[in-house]
Amino acid sequence: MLEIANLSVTLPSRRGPLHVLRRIDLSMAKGQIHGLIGESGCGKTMTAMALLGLLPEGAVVAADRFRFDGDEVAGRVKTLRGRRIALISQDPAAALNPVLTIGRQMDDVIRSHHALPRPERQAKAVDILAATGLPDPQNLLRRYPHQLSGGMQQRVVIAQALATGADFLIADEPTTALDVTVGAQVLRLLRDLVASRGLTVLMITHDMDVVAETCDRATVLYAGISVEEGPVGALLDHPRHPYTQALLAALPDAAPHGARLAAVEGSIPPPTETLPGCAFAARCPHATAACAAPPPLRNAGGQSWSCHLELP
Amino acid sequence: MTLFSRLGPKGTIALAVVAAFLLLAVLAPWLAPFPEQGAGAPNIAEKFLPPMPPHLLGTDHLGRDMLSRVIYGGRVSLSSGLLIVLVSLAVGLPIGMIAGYAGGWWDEALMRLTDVFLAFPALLLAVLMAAALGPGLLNAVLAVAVTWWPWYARMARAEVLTLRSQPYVEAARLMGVSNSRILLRHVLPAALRPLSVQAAMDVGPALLTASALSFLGLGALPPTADWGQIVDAGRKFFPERWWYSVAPGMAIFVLALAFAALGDALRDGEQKDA
Amino acid sequence: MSAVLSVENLVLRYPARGLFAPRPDPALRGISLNLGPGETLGLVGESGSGKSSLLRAILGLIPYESGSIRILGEDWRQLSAAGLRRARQGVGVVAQNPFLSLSPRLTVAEILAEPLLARGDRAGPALNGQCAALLSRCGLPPDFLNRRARALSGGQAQRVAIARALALGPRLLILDEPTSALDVSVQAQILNLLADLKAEMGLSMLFVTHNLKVVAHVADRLSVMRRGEIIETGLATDLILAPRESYTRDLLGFGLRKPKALA
Repeated sequence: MLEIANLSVTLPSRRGPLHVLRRIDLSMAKGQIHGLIGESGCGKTMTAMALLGLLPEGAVVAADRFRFDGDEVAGRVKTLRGRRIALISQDPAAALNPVLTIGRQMDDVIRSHHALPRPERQAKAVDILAATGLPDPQNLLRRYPHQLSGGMQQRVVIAQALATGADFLIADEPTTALDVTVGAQVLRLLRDLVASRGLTVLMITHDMDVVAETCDRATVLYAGISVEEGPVGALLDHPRHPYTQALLAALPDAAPHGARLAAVEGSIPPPTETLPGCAFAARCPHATAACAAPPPLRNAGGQSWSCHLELP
Repeated sequence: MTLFSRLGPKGTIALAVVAAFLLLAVLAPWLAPFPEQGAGAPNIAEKFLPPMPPHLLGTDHLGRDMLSRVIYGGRVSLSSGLLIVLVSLAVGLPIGMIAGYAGGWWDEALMRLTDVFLAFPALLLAVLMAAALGPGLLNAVLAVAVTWWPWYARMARAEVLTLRSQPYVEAARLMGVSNSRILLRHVLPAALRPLSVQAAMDVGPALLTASALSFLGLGALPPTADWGQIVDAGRKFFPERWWYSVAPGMAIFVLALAFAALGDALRDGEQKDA
Repeated sequence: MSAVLSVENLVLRYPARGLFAPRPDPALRGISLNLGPGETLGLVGESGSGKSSLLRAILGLIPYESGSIRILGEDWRQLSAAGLRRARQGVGVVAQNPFLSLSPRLTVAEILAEPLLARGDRAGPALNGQCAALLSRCGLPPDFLNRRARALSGGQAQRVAIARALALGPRLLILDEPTSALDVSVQAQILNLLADLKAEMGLSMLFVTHNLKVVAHVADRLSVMRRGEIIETGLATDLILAPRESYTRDLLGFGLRKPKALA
């Protein structure tokens, strides 16, 4: 469905070029949920913006391959936005217009994609809202966003994405603003929609629990580089890249109650830096002199990762 | 970010104009071509000369060099504009801050007080005040400031209301920091930024109001030069001796415009910052 | 053993929104909890559970209807304004977002000096030394004293906020979602720091969060809140292994590691 190789994005700034994305490889199969994992500043959201053609002015984009559904789309990703690709953002309250009814906002989306008479558009809106598990959609059309809970708002945003007819959704931290139990329901809905409508979802998140619950495969980002990719089960059970290992080990439930957690010291290299070698070397417990050179890509058990380290 | 990149080209020009007027006002005795005439000394022999060297803007009915008069008038007009804003700030800021921070009864009482002043037509109140206090520069300043301070009180109160619930202000409260210290150290610096932008924008209108008062004869008294008062004096000889009113009028116009543009640029810069 | 913090049968109701609006349901419906010396109590709840109301009531920021709150034996409602200020100095508070809770215009040194000056300490070399000591105890070198809050990373800023909360040697530390705004790896650093401080200083901590997994790791006891009530309380180790309420099971059951025997 989506194949990106060696994508880089550089933004101009007064302090020199910012390497916000250095080397992103991403390949996603149709009908899957693919996780994009990373901490703040790793380039998760920037990758989404590149896919949506929403990069800031002056951004320099380069990629060896940028294919969507078999077509090379570099330079015209914008044309896919709203037709094939839709975004579900973190804060549903901000994504919805507070002064318009849900019905009006649904209708705006449907009207711009389907030439239908008004009663049919309304019927379609009701259908789609019902498909996202919202109770009493007919009545919902007259309501305003603030009258809905966060979980319901996020379902409306998902309904809008579906109404565009897009089959590729980018979900940017879709449950971070929601309670755990409500978020779990929204994620279940996304899974169901993927199964029933053949959608493909790029799930951007920092939360390993979300990845474990919803994703089929996942890519781990660090400093604008995709450092590891693989099926979620293998990735979480046997992380290969030292950064993935460190990330998982730092979770509070990775250690026995009250024991010290394996914190990663140091911080992510700033985007102003050029990184000729391994980006994680400065914080890596296994780093050697070899890490100053670009790390080789390794493969095993369906996972791929870039690291100098031989598998033990 | 440097000041200039923040102000943009228009803002920088406005700043230059304001700075030029300030410089002329401060250095009037050295920069005015005829300083004694600027200060008011008559020179009857040369009365009503049209603009030409050495009197670039002509002379008035007492033969005084208009350029020197306008430069000297700038001292009075500029300082009255600045003083009005400063006095209003000095009164309005503490009142608004106390109302916003203390809330409850204090807020109610202080805000109703400002409402009383706001409910009165501003220029009329200023004229009445000036008439009651008698003409004179300082009285004119006080008269305008009376109508001006409630705006600052309201702005300060609104700022403090949002700042009061900021986590860092709450944190200070939870550490047992005293109210006066919270206000001075944590609230005031943050409130001062938007207020100072507003104040800079207000110098222009303040100057206009002060000029209007002196035009009505309620400002500085002759022989002290003051733009509004010169415009008034020239009115009797208009349009034959047009330069008499036009010269100070243009000065008021250009300076008020420059202050407005500067304020706009400052506000845009503030938004760029945020 | 006297409790550091004791809340008894606390009922809190926000005022009605208009003259004729119906009286709203209570936000807290009879909360009781106890925090002993050197103990860490985790208070878990999602939005609307009442945990923020409880926290604000404990800190004396909002009034409550009935019941009692005693901190170090004192009922803050009985205190004069000056007494309340003094009492507040005995409790350290760390908020969720360090960038919002540190005055943006002050340097780290000024931020750390603030509570000391509020107590009545004099500015001078002794005070500066105290600030540097606080900072190093929270894992930051002394050259951070001259930085401004906005020049810090999230983890560094939260360390400064913790150092400030410790400045007056409090016996009780109240933590309001202290790691929710931080990345996972930084969260681990902060949790380690809190564990160290607890061991060193014998602090009592009230750790309020929506994230059961985070607090389960550091707390001795856990209380789960829902709709203004504490629905389940117990030793953290027991509660993780055998939650009684299905709601608690939902909170624990989501994600990577299902509750299983922890070593």
